[in-house]
Amino acid sequence: MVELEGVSFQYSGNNPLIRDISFKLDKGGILGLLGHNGSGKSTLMKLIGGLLRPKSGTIRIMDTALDELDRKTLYKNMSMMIEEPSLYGHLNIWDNLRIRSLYHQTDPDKITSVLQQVGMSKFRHRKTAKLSTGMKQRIGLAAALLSDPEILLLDEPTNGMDPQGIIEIRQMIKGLSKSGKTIIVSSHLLSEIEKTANEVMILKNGENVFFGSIENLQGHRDLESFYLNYA
Amino acid sequence: MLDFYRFTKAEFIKLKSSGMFWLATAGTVFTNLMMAVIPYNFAIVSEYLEMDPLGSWEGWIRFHYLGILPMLLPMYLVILCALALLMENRARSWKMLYALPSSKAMVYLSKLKVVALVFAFSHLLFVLLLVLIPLVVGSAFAQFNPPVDLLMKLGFGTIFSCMGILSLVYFISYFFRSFVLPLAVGILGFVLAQLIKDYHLDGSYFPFSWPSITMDSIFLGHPDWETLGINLLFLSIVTLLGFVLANRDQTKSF
Repeated sequence: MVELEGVSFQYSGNNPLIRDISFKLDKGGILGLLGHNGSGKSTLMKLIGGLLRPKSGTIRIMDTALDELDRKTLYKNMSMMIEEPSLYGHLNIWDNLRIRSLYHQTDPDKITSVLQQVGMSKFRHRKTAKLSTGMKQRIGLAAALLSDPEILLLDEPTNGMDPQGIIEIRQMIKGLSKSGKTIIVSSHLLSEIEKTANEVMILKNGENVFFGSIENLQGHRDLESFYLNYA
Repeated sequence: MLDFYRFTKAEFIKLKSSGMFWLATAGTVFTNLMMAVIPYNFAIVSEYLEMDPLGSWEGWIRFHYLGILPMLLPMYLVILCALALLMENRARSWKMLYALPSSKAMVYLSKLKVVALVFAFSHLLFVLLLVLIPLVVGSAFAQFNPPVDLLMKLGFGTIFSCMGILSLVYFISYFFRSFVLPLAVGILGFVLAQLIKDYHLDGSYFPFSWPSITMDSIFLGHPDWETLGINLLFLSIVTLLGFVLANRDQTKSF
């Protein structure tokens, strides 16, 4: 579903931010990107999402090179929430999602169902400027789910959420994966990725220092030291 | 075409309670009230502008159009464009807008269309209030019928004559994502347009001179169709350039 082959990226004149990354993620898989702040998680997400172009290497989405995919096909099948959710603070939740549904040509009724999915139905008339960080994350997720994409890129989706919210979102991500969605989720929290993903990549200075299944990672006796040692 | 319709609709939703909305409505009402307060409280008879604001409908209209509008219009357009783009910067929505199942130029075009419509709306509101205020206050000249023909020509003429400036400042605001740069261009444009006018130079090819040339020509009774034509040609070229660049725009600001 998502395949990277020797992908590197740098802004002109600067040091490489992503170095020679390769992996393959099948349909329904959840890949967890782990790494400290500045390790290249968000940049890698932007590359996969087509927001940045790699300096070298190939990205394939649904068996087609990203360069050859037309925007309509790509963004009908892929949705993302990178860094922070894009929300118009002067508008309420409903209007923000209505804008997204217009952009993605989805049925307005879908807004009600995605709001239920992220547990925000009763706040639909609240202005997004007045929402907490965790609530904004939920709305960002709802917006990403509106177009019912095959691939979801979620950058630190549980950022700012309370423990209950984290559990709910984790279960939601797993549920989406079971329904066949392919998900790439990033976090700097090992515990989060451990409980959500089935494949893990640890990034350090833009380099892949570990890639394998979650069982593989859990095989290490002191997981935390292992992670800290790598990242 | 369907994409353009949906994108435009999305832009209209964004207008709700936005800075642009308040500037276009409350800002216009405030300008009209200010323009009314001055002649009703101070004796203004300008020989330079050949007007007596409270002497006749034409004097009242001349006072509004020639007194302050040449300065207000470029600044108003700059602020309008800046607010339209500021909305996206504040929402950090460029990533989202560049990852939509449609061409990137749709964002550019739909936003430009809405900015132009908001400008047209606010100017027509300005014309409407310009007529209503003397009627409500009961000015002596208001017992005669307002010159609807002149007002229509001035209203729509001004809207069309500003499209060149609008397309230019919108282009700069969109691609430089800056407030300072279009503002600097607006101030410089206004100053140059004033100098061109004061020294009787030819401003036919300078966008910031076009509103003034159009207004003057309408007051003289000979609308300058040539300048309007150049203006619309300029609008088309800048918009086409923006369309091409928006499609090629890479995500440098991410």
